[in-house]
Amino acid sequence: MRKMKIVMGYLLAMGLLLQGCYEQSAQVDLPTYNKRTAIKCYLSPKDPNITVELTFTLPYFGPQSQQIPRVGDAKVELSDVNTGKSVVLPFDSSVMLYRVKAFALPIVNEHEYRLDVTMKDGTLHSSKTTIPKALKEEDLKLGSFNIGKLQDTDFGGQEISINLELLSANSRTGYFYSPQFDLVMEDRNGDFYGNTMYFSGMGIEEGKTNDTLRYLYNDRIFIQSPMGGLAADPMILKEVVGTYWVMDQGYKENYLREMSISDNPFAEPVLVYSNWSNGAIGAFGSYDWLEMLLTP
Amino acid sequence: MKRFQFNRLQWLFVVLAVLMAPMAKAQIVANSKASISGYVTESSSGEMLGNVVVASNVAGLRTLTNSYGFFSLTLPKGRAQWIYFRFPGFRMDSLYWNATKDTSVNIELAAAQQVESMEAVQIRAKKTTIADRADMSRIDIPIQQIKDIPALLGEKDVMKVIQLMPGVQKGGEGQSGIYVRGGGPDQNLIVLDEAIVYNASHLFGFFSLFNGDALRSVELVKGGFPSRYGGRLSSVIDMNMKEGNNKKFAGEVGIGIISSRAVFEGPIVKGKSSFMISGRRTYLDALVQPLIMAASGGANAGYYFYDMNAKANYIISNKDKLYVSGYFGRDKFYLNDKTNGSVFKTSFGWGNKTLTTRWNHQIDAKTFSNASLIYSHYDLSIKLLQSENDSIQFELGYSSTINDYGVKYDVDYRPNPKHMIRTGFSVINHQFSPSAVVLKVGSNFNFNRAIKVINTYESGAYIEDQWREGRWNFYPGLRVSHYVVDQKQVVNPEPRMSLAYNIRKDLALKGSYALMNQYIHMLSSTGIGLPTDLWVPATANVKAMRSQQFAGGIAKDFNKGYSLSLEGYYKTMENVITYKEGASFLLNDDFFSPTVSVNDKAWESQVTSGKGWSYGTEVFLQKQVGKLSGWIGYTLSWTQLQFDAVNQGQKFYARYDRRHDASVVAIYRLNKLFTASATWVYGTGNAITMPQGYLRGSGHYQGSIPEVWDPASGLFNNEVIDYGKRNSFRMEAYHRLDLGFQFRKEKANGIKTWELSFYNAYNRFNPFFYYGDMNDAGTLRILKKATLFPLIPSLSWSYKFK
Repeated sequence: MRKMKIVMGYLLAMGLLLQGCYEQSAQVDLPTYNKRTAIKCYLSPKDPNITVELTFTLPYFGPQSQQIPRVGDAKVELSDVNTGKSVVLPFDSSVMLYRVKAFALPIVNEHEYRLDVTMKDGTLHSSKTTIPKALKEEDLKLGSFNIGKLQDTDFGGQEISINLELLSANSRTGYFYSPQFDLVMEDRNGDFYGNTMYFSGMGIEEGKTNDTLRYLYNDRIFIQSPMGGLAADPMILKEVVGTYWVMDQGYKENYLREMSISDNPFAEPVLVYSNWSNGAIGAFGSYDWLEMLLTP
Repeated sequence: MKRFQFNRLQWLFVVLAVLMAPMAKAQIVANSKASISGYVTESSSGEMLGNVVVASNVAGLRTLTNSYGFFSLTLPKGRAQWIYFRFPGFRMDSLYWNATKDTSVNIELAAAQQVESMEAVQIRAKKTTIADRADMSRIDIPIQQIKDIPALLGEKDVMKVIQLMPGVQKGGEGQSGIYVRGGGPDQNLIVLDEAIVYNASHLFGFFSLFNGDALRSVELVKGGFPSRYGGRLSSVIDMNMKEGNNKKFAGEVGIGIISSRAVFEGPIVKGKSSFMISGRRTYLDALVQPLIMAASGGANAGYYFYDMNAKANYIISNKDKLYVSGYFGRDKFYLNDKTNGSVFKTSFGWGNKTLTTRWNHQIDAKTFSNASLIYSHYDLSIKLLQSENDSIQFELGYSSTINDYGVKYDVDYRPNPKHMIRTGFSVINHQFSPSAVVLKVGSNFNFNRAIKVINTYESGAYIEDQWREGRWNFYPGLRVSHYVVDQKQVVNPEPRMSLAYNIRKDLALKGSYALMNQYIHMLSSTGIGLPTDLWVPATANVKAMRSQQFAGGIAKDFNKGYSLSLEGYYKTMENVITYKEGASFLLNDDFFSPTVSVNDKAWESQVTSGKGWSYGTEVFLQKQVGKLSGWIGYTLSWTQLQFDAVNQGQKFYARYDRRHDASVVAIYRLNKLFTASATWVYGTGNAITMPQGYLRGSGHYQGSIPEVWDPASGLFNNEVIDYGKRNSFRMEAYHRLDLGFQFRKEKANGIKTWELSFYNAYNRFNPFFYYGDMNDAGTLRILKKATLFPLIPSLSWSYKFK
């Protein structure tokens, strides 16, 4: 009995100790914050404006502000390395960006451009990009495809399996290509059904100078009739329609990093991209696109 | 004139020829010498004793017993001499031997405590001298110390004791994973009776799965690796289970706060065969379940782990012995809820199984062999099921398994006291199933991604010599590893060399070099060694890791049982892998993607490979005998990594880079009835990646339509976090004091022990992880730390049968 009392007393004391001393969290010293300059500029022959966004980063910890600390007193100069021409972009306070119309300095495929940003304190941030080669209709073709049979689902609709291949020729190593397409099918009743195609790896592949790029779409999609009825076999592929994109390394890296940021606590942190000199973050990139319609 | 150059195979031949030379010489002089050979065992239990010094009084010639207790000492014929047998904690024994012919003897050493008073033990329990242990970076962990050192919740833990050694660091609060000389937790070869153990932890890493009651020996090797070891870059933890007392029945039972344990051993046929069986199980689930059921109205949830070690041996003849041993352990978390025909079940479990069969055979007076058949299994499974009225609405299953089938053969040849030659080979068939997914939604969606089993074959052949020449000790060795995957194979020579020079009997200079290859990787998002970490094989795309380590040091013995070791090391690592930025085990794009074919290795696209560097200095001051024993360990080290696709290709400090790491262990045995112990640890905080700033502005997402896209109108307040550089933030330093008090009482049939321990005695709030938190008004974001274990007292009771 005495031993039992000792054990019970011990358990009670332990419970009290655990209650009294455990604290889940405590405020700690903040990581060192270094204000950094962020510069973003994406050039495309098809954009009507050339814009440069210039801001400072904000401290992640500490007092929070909804303001965007834009920088309007820097000198921003864009040069066409191939022609030697350049233009200084004025700060447009109505949109809080440095901006000129595209005809002030034509953006030409395969030309190299240099952007120099001189901050008020004299710090110079520079970067270069070469505009991708213009895309052509024959650069992307519909490869083999297969559309399965309609199947009923528990949820009241139907689903169908689809395999489809897009083939891209004339790509270049060092540039990245991405088809963003919808497919359109027609059933026996003449009703049309569409679906966006998602390719693995976000559909972005590096070009192959002497080879063919292949994009494989393999999915089982839900079919919802627009009139509320059921679709009828056979389903046939009518067309594939969308935009074919090409981008340089800077555009692709920055894009993928921004898209990869998630709240997944197990994911490795994604560091911000930079192709600027002197510690600025952000990207100077270029891209182009072509709207296309592919038919079987 | 054509210059002659060796190719790789020719070099291999030359090295083998040099290593084999002592064997040839031994044959020539064999007729003029006689050998004394046999086994050394512990007198009370018949357990084999390894690393016992066997020495002749003639010219100081000596050898050591191997891990099976076998020794062989070959000396010039015709001279009578004393042969001494010496082992720490045991009475020295001796015999008078007239070296006229080969002689076989079996020696039993008595533990010092059995025959002498504690006072005498302190004087007589002679320690091993520095000359006897001239190899470097190797530490034997005494099992008794594991039992004496205070532990979290009173659960004695081999891995936690290993963490207290210099050069070994722990991952996080309470974690049993170890980081040796800058290597990750996957770079440790953990073997239990020769079977590889892949995930050596219970309870999400808070306890290791090795039950100290079942272990006979634990050896840690951090560098200067003997050639018989291969397959991992950073360390070897070689554990052997007890064989079982072959003279009498014995046992021990213990009751702790979270688990109970028992070990029983005894003869099957006295003096001929014996067994040992041990087990433990947690019972938190049983205690907590009624409360959960009451609170939730019927749901039951819980967590438990259990493990069991078993071993049996049979002495076939004086020259042959058979061992069978196994480990079986499992962790399981579960939640079951059943209400009104609706059922929700989820479980998360992982477990290891090993089975080893060994046959010892003494070929002749100088030659001993061991053949082993080895099986090892690890699996992780996650299950989730939701049903309504017995109809499955949703079912998810995820599993990852590894099966190893191995064969190993080792020969121990001792031609003369100057040479201890070991040679052998091993072949392991690894069968990996990295990530199989079953997903059912309703009756129509039935997705089954059964990843094809990846078969790899890892083999190695080795030869090594412990060569003693005057004041010099050389340990040359060569291992040739061979790996087959995807119908491709690689052969890698792995030269090893350790040497020591005894300046005096109690002072030695040491150096070593080792090249290691590792044909298996662990993908870890957290870096702390959780069961969700994925073991994957080296493939044609993800190459095998390789390290080279140089180490040098000095060791000195002092009076009163003190010894000091000072070592420096420099290690390079190649083809180390990590997840790409943004990738993880869960929630990656391809996890449930039907576009992944059954033969795809989805993980390959998620990883990137790079390099690592680690260098540092370790100080180890140890006192092995006397009332007060223990050690002080200190490590000053740097560990850096570099991956082309991470941190923009720049070098960064590894998460477990620890500039200062110190441990103080003190065990004070006042008398037979009372022992007090204390450990204090200090470590520089882990290097982690923390948000520093953020960038708010426009994004430019592909998919928007560029003609109308305008940053002015298209602003969507995109916020991008600026983490600065990878692992550029240091967590707070970690330090902790643990205290333990053991009270023993001798009873008629055994010894009763009460142990009171205090984990984190001064209640330090050590950081487990950090997180950002906004104040209620949403105007201030602060950084907080979460602390896991405050001061935790615990009480345990055990009874050891005499």
